[in-house]
Amino acid sequence: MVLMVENVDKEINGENVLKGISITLEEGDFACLTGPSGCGKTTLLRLIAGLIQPSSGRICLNGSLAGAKSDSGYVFQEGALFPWLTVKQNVAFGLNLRGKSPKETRDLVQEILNLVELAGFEEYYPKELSGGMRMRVALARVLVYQPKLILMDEPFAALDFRTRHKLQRDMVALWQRLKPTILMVTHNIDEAVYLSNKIIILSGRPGQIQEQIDVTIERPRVRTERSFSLIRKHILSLLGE
Amino acid sequence: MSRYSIDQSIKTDSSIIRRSRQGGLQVKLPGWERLAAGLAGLLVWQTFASLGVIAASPSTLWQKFINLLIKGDPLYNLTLIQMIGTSLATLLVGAGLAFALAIPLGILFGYFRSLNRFLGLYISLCRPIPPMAWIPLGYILFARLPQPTFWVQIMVVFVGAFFPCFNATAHIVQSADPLLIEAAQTLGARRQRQILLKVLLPSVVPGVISGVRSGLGVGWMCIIGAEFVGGRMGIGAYIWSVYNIGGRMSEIMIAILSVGLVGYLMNEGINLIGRRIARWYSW
Repeated sequence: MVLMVENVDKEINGENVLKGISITLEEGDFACLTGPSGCGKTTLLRLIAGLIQPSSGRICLNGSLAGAKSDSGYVFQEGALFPWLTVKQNVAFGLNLRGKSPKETRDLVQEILNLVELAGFEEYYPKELSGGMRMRVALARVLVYQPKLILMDEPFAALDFRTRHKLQRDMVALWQRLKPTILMVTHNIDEAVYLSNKIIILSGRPGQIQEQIDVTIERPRVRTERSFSLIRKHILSLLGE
Repeated sequence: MSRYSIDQSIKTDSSIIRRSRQGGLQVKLPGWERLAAGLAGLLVWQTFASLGVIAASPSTLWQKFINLLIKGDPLYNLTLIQMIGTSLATLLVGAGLAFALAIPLGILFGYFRSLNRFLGLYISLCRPIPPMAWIPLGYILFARLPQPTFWVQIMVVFVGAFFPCFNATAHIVQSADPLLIEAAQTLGARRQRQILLKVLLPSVVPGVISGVRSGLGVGWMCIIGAEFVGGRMGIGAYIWSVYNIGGRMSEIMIAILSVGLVGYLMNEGINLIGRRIARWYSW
């Protein structure tokens, strides 16, 4: 078990944002977290990352209590790249903090940049990249140090339709290759069904787990297939649409 | 989508606009607007000179300017460059000291809000005082030093250069993107020192550069005023002295135009250096 969230409540300014949340993720899971706006998806992600602390309950990452020292990777909306660092330096950031040797860092960075199709852009600054490329850098920055769990907060939401689909395809390929454990927040039901093998649906305020769905459709998934649309339909009905 | 993403899209939009404007007008048509403005100014000036409103016409002024530049003013036995150099030396010492204090203080005040609440009153109280107002106090303070006037001038420049730099630095530290700090934390930066060195310091560089730029600008204005009270023969002292010995209009005009030119060049120079140092920033 990589992630275990046990009966977690979170209050912010006296308001119940999350209530009784329990989630477990096994190694290699690709889980999507979805639900109506303001249901606390991002708050849950931040709790797991240790950026904030739960009001009650516990969160264990790889068997030890999640907190400031837990080894997760967080992919922010829009990437949150360091604008003063080049692509290469951004990706090396986590490795440098982990005290890797320069040679090892260089090799790992180059390897991951090849994987996310950014070879040739090593010396670019974030402002010189498109939204999709920035997202790839953000992903590479996390993948490169192989965290136990990768948390992603609506990583593709700001991208145009074609770029989003391309990144989704590439994401699946990367996941199949590197087998990281992923928990991703998304508003996009279609994206959730396409990517994940587990979908966790939160209800509105306070956020509670409404249902967890296992998606067993074979990959590569086709969005127009019947099994795909059935799951979509089911989730949409749960969300009251 | 959150407010953050909206801000972000505005930011990229404006940087695109800025870039295209630069590429469109300043690079492809090198400064034809400035050239036109310069010619128009000369024309107006020449007209006024011909009508007798202004004593010196552009052509006589140009001759005198070249003379002052190469041969210097016989009354003082100093060239224009020597005098500007004297003033610049004072500026560099005064502004240098100001920056050495303003940048670290700005970072501290921007970072520790409580410090700002604790000492902010003094800053707010001293900021509106015109730098020249410190001159008499400076004379009393530095009376025992070997060259009191020099130190007074340094002090005036110091006061002038300090606040713009301090403000710009404190402001950019305060507006550091909290998301980037969180990003560094999730990537494994646990200690305050790592956040400070790897996130806060690099992010303040553009603010510090523009603080240095406006600090130098204000300091340069102040040195001219500070020299009116005497001291070494810098360009400001020259303007006042030339006026006192008989209102030599052409020399005065040449001197003040050179002050403007030097200020302009300094500004452009810092811009150039800033673009080099912080190439990543959308200037």
